[in-house]
Amino acid sequence: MDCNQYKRAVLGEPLLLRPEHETLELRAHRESCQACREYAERALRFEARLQRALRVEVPVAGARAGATGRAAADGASAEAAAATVAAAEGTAAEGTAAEGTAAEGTAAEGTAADAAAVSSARVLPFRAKPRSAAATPPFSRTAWRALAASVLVAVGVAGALFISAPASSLAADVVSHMAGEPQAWRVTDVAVPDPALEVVLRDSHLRLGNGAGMVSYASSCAFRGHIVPHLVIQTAAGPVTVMVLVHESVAKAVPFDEQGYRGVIVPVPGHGSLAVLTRAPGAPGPGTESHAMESHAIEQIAARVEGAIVWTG
Amino acid sequence: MKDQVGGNQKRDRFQALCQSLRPDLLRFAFWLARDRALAEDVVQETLLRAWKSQDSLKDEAAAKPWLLTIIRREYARTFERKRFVTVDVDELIAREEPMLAAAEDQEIAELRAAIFKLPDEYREPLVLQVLMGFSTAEIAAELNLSGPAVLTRLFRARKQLRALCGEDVGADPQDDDGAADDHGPEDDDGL
Repeated sequence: MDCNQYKRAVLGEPLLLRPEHETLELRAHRESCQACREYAERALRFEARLQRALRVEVPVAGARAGATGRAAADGASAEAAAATVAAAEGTAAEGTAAEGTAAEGTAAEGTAADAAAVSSARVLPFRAKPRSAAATPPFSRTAWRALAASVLVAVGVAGALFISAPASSLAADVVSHMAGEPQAWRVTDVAVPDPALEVVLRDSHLRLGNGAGMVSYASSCAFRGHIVPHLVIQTAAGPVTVMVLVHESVAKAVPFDEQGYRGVIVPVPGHGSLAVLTRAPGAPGPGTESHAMESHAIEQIAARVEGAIVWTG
Repeated sequence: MKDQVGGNQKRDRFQALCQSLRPDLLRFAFWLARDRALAEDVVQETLLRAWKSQDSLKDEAAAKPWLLTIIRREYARTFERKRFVTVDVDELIAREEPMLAAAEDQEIAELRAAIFKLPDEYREPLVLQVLMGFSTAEIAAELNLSGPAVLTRLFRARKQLRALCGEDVGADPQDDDGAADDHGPEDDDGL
């Protein structure tokens, strides 16, 4: 293998730069060629930036009614209209945290039509009623029930927001973020290459010392308007996710246990906070077989990670 | 009664599955369409179609490629439904500026603008590989290309991106040095 072949291979498939995917041929060339070693490091850094660039911040579910709301309003999609009604009914009864987030937008907008549309945007494909229900006139009894349910949802959410402390909504946001990256929870013994980890941590002005444990996943993630490091550390009890939230402060440690995730957000004086969480056994996806981790164990890991962080700015 | 419980469980499971994949589906649609509003509509329609034909999904592990295929078809359908005027890519970038901007990081914003400027045939495999974690073989199957053709497109995509971002590309290999042409699977003898 010559330098051109090496570079072509890694530009086409940078995954080959990772130790677990690197072929013997590539490895032999990298180890014998200083220029290609440097090229590989630059390619890894570029790849981390590319990954970060592609992960644009997307609107939370329900922030925009979208096609469904319009389809329902136009009467263009019978099932969409039916689903809108069903969603509004279902939301009041279920009231999950995720639904609460979406309904927040509903309350702010303040119109019943928007409320129904927003509800539908979140759950539209999953609440469809039989086609006949869609033929119901706009202000039928069902529609009034939907309207009433939407108002109830808005009131309920407003109440919940009033009661809940900011920290608990922070926990909910952390948990919501986890749903977008299920692949991160894999149990593995393959560490993220140092240059890639360095890029992820650099923007938050930190480095990670050896005491934290093996980092198997590192990504720069959009979270509450900021890019934050999202790491997965492999522990004896299974993978643990750490989010370094330099822009979020909490007054004291906030344990949480919701939607199959158990964790704690701990204050880091002068540097925001640290969210450390694990998944409950039986939760869907990889990596949940072996770690029924207790809160105190998670807090110990949080302390260990915090101790391993070296702040560079 | 038992059937209804089973149906509810199935529905909830499918809902959870789609909810967990939704952020990446939106991102994929956004990079495909380079239009946030259109991306949201495409994903919405995709989830609706997926719900209607969920029985055809036999294996949950295949949900992601399945949904991506629907997104690509749904996006293609938007061209059947309406005629798009030609828009300058700089106008697209300006229009989507809030989406492309990265807090406190001009480098990332520039890289995003550069991705917008990539031709569709380079941008799509790149997004499938980097964002969606597809292997070369999976991209080849999705785009109906040969493996070598996919690698060539990915190589060219990165090369163009690096040049657009002002990276030092002096050490990059030449494009005509052994790269496979963009042939379909039937011509899969490029490398």
